[in-house]
Amino acid sequence: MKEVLTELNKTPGLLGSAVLAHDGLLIASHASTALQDQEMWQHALRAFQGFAALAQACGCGDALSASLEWEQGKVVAKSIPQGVLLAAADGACALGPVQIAVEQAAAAIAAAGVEEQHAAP
Amino acid sequence: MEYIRRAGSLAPRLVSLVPEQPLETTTYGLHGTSLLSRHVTPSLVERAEKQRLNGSLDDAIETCQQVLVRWPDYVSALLVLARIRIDLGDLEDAEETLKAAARHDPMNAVVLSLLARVYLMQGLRDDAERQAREALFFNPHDSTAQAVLREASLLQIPSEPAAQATVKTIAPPAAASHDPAAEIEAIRAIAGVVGAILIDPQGLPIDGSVGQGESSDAQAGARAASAMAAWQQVWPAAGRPVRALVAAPHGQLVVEADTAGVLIAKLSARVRPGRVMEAIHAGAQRVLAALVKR
Repeated sequence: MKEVLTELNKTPGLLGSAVLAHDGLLIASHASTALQDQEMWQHALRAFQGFAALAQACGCGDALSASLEWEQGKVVAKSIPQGVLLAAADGACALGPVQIAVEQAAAAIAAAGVEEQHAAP
Repeated sequence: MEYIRRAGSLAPRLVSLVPEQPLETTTYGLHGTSLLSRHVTPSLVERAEKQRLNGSLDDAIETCQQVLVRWPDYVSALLVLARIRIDLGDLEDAEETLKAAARHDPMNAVVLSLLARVYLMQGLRDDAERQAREALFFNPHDSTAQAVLREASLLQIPSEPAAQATVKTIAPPAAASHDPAAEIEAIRAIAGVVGAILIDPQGLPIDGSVGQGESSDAQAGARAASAMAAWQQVWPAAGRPVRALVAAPHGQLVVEADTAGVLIAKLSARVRPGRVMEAIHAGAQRVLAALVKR
């Protein structure tokens, strides 16, 4: 998973990424020094969970992903079997490539899980 | 056996329309060296793709189904299955498979561009062009989408009849009415939008509805305020405005938040958010400005 995050962080403009369990436990992270604060990722997780609850209230079902952008930055969150994959990017970069990179990373993490299950006796 | 006979007769013609590329470059689009390829070697999905390329279409379908039975939303398996269906000439099934993949992964440019290709093969030029543009929104370098646009412009296929065209349009009315209710109605008139609601900073609904009843509107207000409060803790200095897109199986939400309030637009799960988001953004700016004036 660390390798996947390292690869994800090569996306232009991406500042850091992390995988958190639904209860806020930090499973893995890869970030610049500015984003190494575990609490920051936990707040980002709660924000995603807040938007997921909003989606439920609006009859949309369980949120699969969310992207947030403001003037100075962007955050993309993707629900994965292990919890939530979060990626933070600077405000100047295009959101599309970050979203695609996060989707790729989520697929890689899910696929790694598939491989592990196949490898199990 | 009938399946195989159909494959034999249709595949050479149809396959020639679909560029054959290795799985790593077609499945995940932007980066040729897929993360997946290093983590699933050999994976069931790769095996299915190899079987497809070898012409063992029944085996390839079976392999895809092995994956999809356990993980029905596994997009790369849906993508391979869609390619098999294209090879077999089952364009309607391919379309449905790709739509299912797009529902799970609405921003996957490879899925969107292949759907554009299927539309073009069905003679639906307008749909093909629209879909290809949406794919290019997420990946401007998507070669399949670029090719579809080129080919669609060359083909003189008549557009769909006007009767089939959607009544709604992407762009909301340009004139600002300074009336939040009128502006929300304008947003609800945007193609793909099924509900819109304006929430005050404390989470109380001001106008509009997400279309699930009053209690849902009240819940949505409270949840929106709570989500924004959580958000403010992430980057207290970020402040507002903030834009969010939330994708879920039964719908998508576009959230536009300013100090004056929060506008939530609910989109159908089937609509691609690209240009719709821009139209909602323009409408939301007017709604929030009207709110301040009021």
